[in-house]
Amino acid sequence: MTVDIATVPAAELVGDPAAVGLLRALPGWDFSDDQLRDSVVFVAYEDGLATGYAIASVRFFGRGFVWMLAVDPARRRRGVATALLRTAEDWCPSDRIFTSTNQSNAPARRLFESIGYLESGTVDNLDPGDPEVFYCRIPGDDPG
Amino acid sequence: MEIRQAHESDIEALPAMRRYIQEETPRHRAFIERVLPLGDMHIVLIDGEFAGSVITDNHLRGRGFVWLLWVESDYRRQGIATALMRHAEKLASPPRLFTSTQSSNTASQRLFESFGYERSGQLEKMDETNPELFYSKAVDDSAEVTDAS
Repeated sequence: MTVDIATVPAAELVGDPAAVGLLRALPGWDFSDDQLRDSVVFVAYEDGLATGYAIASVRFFGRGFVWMLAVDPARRRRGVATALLRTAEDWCPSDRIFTSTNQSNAPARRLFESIGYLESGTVDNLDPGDPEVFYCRIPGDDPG
Repeated sequence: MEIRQAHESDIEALPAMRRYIQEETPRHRAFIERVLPLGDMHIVLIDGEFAGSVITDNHLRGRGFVWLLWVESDYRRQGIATALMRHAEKLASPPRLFTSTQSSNTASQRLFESFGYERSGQLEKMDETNPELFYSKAVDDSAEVTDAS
């Protein structure tokens, strides 16, 4: 499998109808300009198709934070999410990068834990009855 | 007391604000310099002088978050933090506004509790030594209406 990851400032991406059209076919792509305004988008392309994306910003206490990660359901478990996160880590301007997911999202939690992310804790009341579990990775701190 | 959105030109015009930013940690200083042009920093002016600031947005998983709250030492215990938090509550998207502080900062914890915020989890690895304690409070669309009445 060849996955090419493009790193694009969100403000630039939203002005590219062709790229946005490909992303709209993926889960969750429905963001306001305000949500995207100072984020960067990582897009995974395979054979000209967008098969996944991640969105990150440096708004989390001034640290890199991947606030959205999505992969085409038909193309999961093939390393797309890992490739997206590794690209985000290379982009991250802070010494550590964070991400999060609902406690109920076992596949995402297994993924994060399998590629060197450490659980940082939980924040309650974001989604009622389903705490948000935060993860942190300090690149270079582990062999992964 | 005037609370308004801060602009980049304020750094030049308000010496106390410039000093506050210069004295912040490098990471917080970079954060302030990034969000200031976006309009996410709001300042309190008393007789035209910088007395404090709050940085807030709706970017913690789409929820309102107060990232940095600051009151100049000469202006403490005068209700400025309260005014800044109320301002953030008006700007926050319903249903909740979140904030956090280090576990060592008991003064901030007492302040948030007195404003009706409840503990909402904690994260490690934010800081080398202290966990970050999270707080949240319900906010609704009527906050502004109630305030004006």
